[in-house]
Amino acid sequence: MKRIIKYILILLVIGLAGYKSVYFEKLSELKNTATEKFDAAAYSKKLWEEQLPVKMDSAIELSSLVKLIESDPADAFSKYSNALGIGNYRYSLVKATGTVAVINEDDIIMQVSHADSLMTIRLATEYIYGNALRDASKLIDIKDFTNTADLNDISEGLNKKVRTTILPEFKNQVKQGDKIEVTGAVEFNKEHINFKDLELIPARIKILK
Amino acid sequence: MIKRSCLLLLCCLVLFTQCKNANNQAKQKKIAVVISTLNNPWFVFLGETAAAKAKALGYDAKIFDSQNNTALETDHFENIIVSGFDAILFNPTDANGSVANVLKAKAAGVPVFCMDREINSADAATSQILSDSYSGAVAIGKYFTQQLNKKGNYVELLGLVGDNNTWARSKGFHSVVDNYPNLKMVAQQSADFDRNKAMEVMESILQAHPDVDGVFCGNDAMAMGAYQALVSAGKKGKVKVFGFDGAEDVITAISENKVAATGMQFPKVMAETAAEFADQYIKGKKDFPKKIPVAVELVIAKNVNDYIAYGKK
Repeated sequence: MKRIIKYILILLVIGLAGYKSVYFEKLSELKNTATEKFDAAAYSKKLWEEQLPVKMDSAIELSSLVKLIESDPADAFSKYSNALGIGNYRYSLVKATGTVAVINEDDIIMQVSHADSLMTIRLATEYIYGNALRDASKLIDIKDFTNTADLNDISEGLNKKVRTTILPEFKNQVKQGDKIEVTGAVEFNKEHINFKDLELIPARIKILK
Repeated sequence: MIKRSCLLLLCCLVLFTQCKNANNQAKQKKIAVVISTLNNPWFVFLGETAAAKAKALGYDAKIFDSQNNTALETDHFENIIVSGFDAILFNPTDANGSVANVLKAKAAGVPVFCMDREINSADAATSQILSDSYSGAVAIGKYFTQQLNKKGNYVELLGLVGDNNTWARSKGFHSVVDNYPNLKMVAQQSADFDRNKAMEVMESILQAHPDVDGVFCGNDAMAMGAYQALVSAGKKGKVKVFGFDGAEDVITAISENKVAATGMQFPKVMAETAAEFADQYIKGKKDFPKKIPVAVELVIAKNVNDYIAYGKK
């Protein structure tokens, strides 16, 4: 009986010591983790062709969003904006219809009806950079990514689509006085809201004439 | 004899249970803040803010200074684990060299939340709260290109070549400027994030390339060093200088049109978010984004009045 108890005690001590000392992982799983490479180009292409168009169809009118931000900014940003990171920048997917007032080398000044007057916005036609489209789309969950470089590459992939597929044809055709309909992304700094210098990054443009 | 053995077994079990309870009680109270160096005011601010937030959330908080020494950082981690700290708010000394320390803490069941500086491991830390250096540099690259009208010669001063932020900033900047072939980089050299070294490096570059139109610097200390070199060379106001950080002297320099722009980082946001995440972890939440970017805001003459050093007014 004495020996049995002694053995139980020894087994208990060995068991406790060994419990946390050793663990096993499949080598194949480790190899897979190390070699998997994110294909940002394919991912961005899929977003651009399959998912972003659906989101753009339901984008809020810029004028309506401005009114909502003016009356209740916290609620408006919560419902109609997004940002993958922490901070003051918020991005919204919006639709705007207006008239081309000025065509500059790097942007187009567009006048959009707002309340009883006209609101002036800048449509970017040269500098398409940053995270506005990626974040405004609300199509990315940051928890799905462990590498921030992949997120940067998605932004660059979407921006490149705008620069290469949307803008060249539009810039060739657009004329002063044209009526255009643009869907795209705008950036707001929620701590310092400024509607006088809004820049719209286009993702879809129609010249209505 | 049997009675004695039974008593011994019972004692072992009681001791084991008590140890576990004691650990649990300690885990609810102590948070360690490990900072790469307390010789730099930026990191002092980061560490003190993290400790203050941890205290405000009801924890004992202690700051450890690694003095930019990975071996000392290892000692801190060993002490922290043995002392039963419940979480570590961590500003690493080295993206690669600090991984082993974080893994050691993870193996001991102590969650690590990285602040500002990244470690090169996808899953060692519970979460990494980092300045979005790449996107901040993209915004600076765009403004830089606009200011130089897409043409001219420029210099890039890099930070420490072993620091991930150095390359994130450089890559973000080049993701814009490299699309404009008339923007020519005549020199790219490291000045280790150091003001004096930046001044020396810039002086030497100006001798070989006097026709420079812009300088992009990986931090504000180097921007101020480069500006001093330009003043000495009689090029004050002729060359546009761009920094990164949001340091006090650069914010003043932007308002005086000495420096064109900087990327404002928010150490307070990073430190407080790390402390909040640690609190949530201790209270049971386990699902955190592995890396969470904190937006870097572009500060230029037009909006400089909205900012003070390391944050907004």
